[in-house]
Amino acid sequence: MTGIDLSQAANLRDVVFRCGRLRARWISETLHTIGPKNLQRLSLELSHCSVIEDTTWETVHPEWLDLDSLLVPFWVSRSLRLKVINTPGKGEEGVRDRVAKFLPELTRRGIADLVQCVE
Amino acid sequence: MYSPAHHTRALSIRHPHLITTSDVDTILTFCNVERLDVITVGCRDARISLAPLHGLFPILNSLYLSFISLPDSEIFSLICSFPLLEDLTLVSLGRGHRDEQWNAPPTSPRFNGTLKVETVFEGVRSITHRLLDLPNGIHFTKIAVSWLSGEDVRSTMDLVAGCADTLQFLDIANHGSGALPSLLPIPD
Repeated sequence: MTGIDLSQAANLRDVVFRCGRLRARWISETLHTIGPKNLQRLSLELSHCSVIEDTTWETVHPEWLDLDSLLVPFWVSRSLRLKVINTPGKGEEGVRDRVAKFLPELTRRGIADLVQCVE
Repeated sequence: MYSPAHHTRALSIRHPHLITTSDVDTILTFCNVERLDVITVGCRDARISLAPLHGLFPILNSLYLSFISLPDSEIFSLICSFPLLEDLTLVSLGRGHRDEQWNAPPTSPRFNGTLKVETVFEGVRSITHRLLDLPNGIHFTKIAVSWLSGEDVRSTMDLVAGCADTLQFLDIANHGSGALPSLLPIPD
């Protein structure tokens, strides 16, 4: 599934992406279309039920690394507030360890608020 | 005579098909309702009429409607009967009668608050097109949608374009193709 063109939304301040599938390319594609000025907050939600149908972790992992490398300069250039929300499954690791698998550089720099949700 | 109905700000109606024109006087006492929930789930809603509810709440600004097979004409005729509507939540739990003809009324609500659209089976395309066809347009500041297919991406772009000058908050829940998922093992 491709991203959405948000270039027309000149007053967009706050965007939330909820990942029901473990693909990330649609998020990167969407971020490339957002104008330079107004966006203030960006949130990503990873659910324990985030799933994938016909591919493997090796396939989707590069998409997350691409997003990771996009988010860091986004944060630097826009003073953007980043938040990653994780809803863990039973027995899963903590929020930092899990998010680090998807967004390692962002986690290493500590530039996002990491939030663990309890269902 | 004192009536607590006058002080009611939020009202929830289940099984609205049981309301008839003879109940209108009673419902009119709820004249200060600002938020209305209408739930037709569980009452074979493909053939019911919501006409008895049209325009009954003169200062209504928020409508939540949850349905399974309610026709578009019923959904949008109800919506357009409340001119001060700012917030709209539509939850579609089934497959409705989406291809029917419906002529939009000459005026439509202000729609300058929050739009939430959740669908389980059929995506947001039909609802989007109906909204964009309304005569006064849409001016939402917040939009929350769920995606099931690539069609929903295009529909969301249409919604964003319709609210290009007003949109400040966008929430997208991407559920992919909507097919049954298989869990992905993530290696350590």
